[in-house]
Amino acid sequence: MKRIVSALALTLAAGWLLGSGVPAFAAKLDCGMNTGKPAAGESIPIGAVTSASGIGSFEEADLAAKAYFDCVNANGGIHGRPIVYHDEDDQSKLDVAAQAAKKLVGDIGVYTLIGSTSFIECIANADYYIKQNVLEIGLGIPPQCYQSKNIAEINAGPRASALGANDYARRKLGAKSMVCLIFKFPGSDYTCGGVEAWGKKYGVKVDSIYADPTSPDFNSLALQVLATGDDGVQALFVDDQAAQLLNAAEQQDGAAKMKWTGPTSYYTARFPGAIDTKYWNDRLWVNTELGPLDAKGKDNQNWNDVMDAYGPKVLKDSFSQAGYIAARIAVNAMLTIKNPKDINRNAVTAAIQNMKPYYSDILCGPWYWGGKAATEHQGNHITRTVVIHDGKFKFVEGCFPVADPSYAKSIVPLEAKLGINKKFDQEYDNLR
Amino acid sequence: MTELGKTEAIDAGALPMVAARPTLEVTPRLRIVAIVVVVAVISGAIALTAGGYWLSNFTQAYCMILTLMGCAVLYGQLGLVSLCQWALVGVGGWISLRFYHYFHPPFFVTILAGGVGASAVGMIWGLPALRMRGLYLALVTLMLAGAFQTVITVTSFPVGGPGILGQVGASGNERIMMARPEIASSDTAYFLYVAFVTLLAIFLVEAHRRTKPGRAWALIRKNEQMAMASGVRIVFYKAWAFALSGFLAGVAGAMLAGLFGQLDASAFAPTDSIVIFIGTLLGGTEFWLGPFLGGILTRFIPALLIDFNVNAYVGLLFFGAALLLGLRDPVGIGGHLTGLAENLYRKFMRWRGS
Repeated sequence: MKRIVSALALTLAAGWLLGSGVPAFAAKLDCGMNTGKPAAGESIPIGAVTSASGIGSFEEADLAAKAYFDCVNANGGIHGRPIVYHDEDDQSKLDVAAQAAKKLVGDIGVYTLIGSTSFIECIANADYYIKQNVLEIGLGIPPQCYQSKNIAEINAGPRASALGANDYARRKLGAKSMVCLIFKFPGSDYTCGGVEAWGKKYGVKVDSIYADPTSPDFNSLALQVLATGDDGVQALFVDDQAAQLLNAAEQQDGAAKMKWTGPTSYYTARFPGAIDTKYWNDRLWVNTELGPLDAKGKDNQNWNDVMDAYGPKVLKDSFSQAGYIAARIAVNAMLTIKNPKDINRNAVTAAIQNMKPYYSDILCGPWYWGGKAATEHQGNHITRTVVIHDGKFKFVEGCFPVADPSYAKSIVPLEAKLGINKKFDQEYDNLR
Repeated sequence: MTELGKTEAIDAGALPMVAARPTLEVTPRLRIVAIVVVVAVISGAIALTAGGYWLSNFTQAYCMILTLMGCAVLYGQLGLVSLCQWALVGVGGWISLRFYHYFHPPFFVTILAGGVGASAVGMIWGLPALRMRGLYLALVTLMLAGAFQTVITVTSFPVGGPGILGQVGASGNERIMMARPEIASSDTAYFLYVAFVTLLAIFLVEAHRRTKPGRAWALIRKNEQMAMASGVRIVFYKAWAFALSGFLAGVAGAMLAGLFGQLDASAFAPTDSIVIFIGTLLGGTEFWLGPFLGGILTRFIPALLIDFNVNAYVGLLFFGAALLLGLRDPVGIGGHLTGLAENLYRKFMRWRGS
């Protein structure tokens, strides 16, 4: 028995030594106040509602946000107050998402929500957040994530990514007609509807195909796409479904008949392994919303180091980058509140609404909230393009603004007011 | 139909055990008082203590109670296994949302619309039961639940847009939430509102059980030929049972829509209908307390698991294990507790009499 106790004590001591070794990394990390001293004051509750189970699992952004908050807590917190991060799984269900928000905002009283990544959460909670005067920065899919007063997303979203890839096909591949292929879901007409509006503006014929999500037959979908005879196609699927479609298209020699493009969901580490990269070599173009994972930029390097020191090492991907940026924006905004006693929900909401545009080498343009009056948010709408080349992704076009005609009304005037993204004035003019 | 009155003795399960001395009898009036007291005490305790998360979950649990009551009517009274009750909740929710966005009626009328609509659909879905029962009926109803999920995934629930489907399409800004009744706009008040409707529904089912339909169902369950020979209209009373269970599910769907202001296809998987049936078995079908406790459990356990950040699939495992218990124990938790309460009551009366 004694031996067990002493073994346990040794293990604990070793754990403590190893644990206390972590702040040694902190010297080169950039986390909040960078004091190197752990925060010990009254905690700041922050939440996230994420689809960890159900249709898909999107935990990377939360884990990255948590890692960055841990790093901030080890470096003086927010003027001495540590952040406590509450992460809820919504199971991709509306009722569970609504209840998770009640728990976080109503019961725990979080000051803001950071890193939420969900299929359904914005639909469930957009109104509730407005009533409770709480803001959310995360990653979004449905339109409510972009067209709500109190929600803004770090990712550009499926509509912007779809438009980015379509516009690349028009500008660089000479496509005069495109297919927009998507599963029929609430909000899927927001995506292909956007492509149709873009097509009308730029003289590209767009054929939208809404597929049945319950029993997808990729062979017949590939045949249906090829039967349109259009110049190009974009399938708005997640990566494994896209791989099945591309494999079916390969059987019909689809790449010889059309230009194949994809949204940012194809840009994953496993995707090139799931398709015949020899066949698709230089024949599959994919839009990306965030920078390359191995880039040497300062912010990307810091993300990498923070994940190494505090986060899960295996999960470094675009979602993780976005979660890190969301957490950084929240921390920067909270640090502008000078007196730690004044940090509460209303103050954090005001601080984020009035934030200075956040510049990062991971994003093409500065990310901004746009002030208290902004009723929709599209901080990330400048994207890049990659192509399958030699078995992996190769960047073929750097930062280029998404050509969504609806931006002419809201985004363009707002950015002119903020004085940002001036180098894209020419492209913005084209939207009008 | 006086001959129906004579069948009363057969329906022993649904009737109180008649004790030797009249003072020890659990009278119908006492039952009514017991129902009101139990529902009021439990609901009051929840309303006073629960915060946002738990209040929302218990409101949802009460909607599940209604659904379980419908399931218990079919299984307990007629021995019919229906695995599409949660889909009927979706039907009721769809109809009430559609009705609300067209007419903006008072909330109670919206609930009734959901109930009546789901009741009609429930009757149509119950048609196979005229010819089949047991495993075949279970399979057919489960397929209906699957079909409903496919349809609702594509059409989605109305959110105040144009046309019959009421979608707003490209714009997220224009979604309109279903308003709660004015007297129950806060979470606590809405919970109490739902509790009151639940109480009314319990009385509705109890009234059925203790009058002509209840006796007819008991006879049909015992032996259809015998029931026919006694002049019971089998098709009519079976359809009535499906209509009643559909009505309860529809009311539950409307109140769920009121809770969240909207509904989504993600909440109406066929597996949920199976969980509802397991909850019915666990709670027991003979007494009103069975669906009441079963309904609370079917929501309470998943909510507890979510609160402890346990993976959602563990909840399904739990209900699978619970099913084994439920199959071995025909009385259910509600039955045991009711028996216990009645025994205690008799002992108390004897003690007082002596």
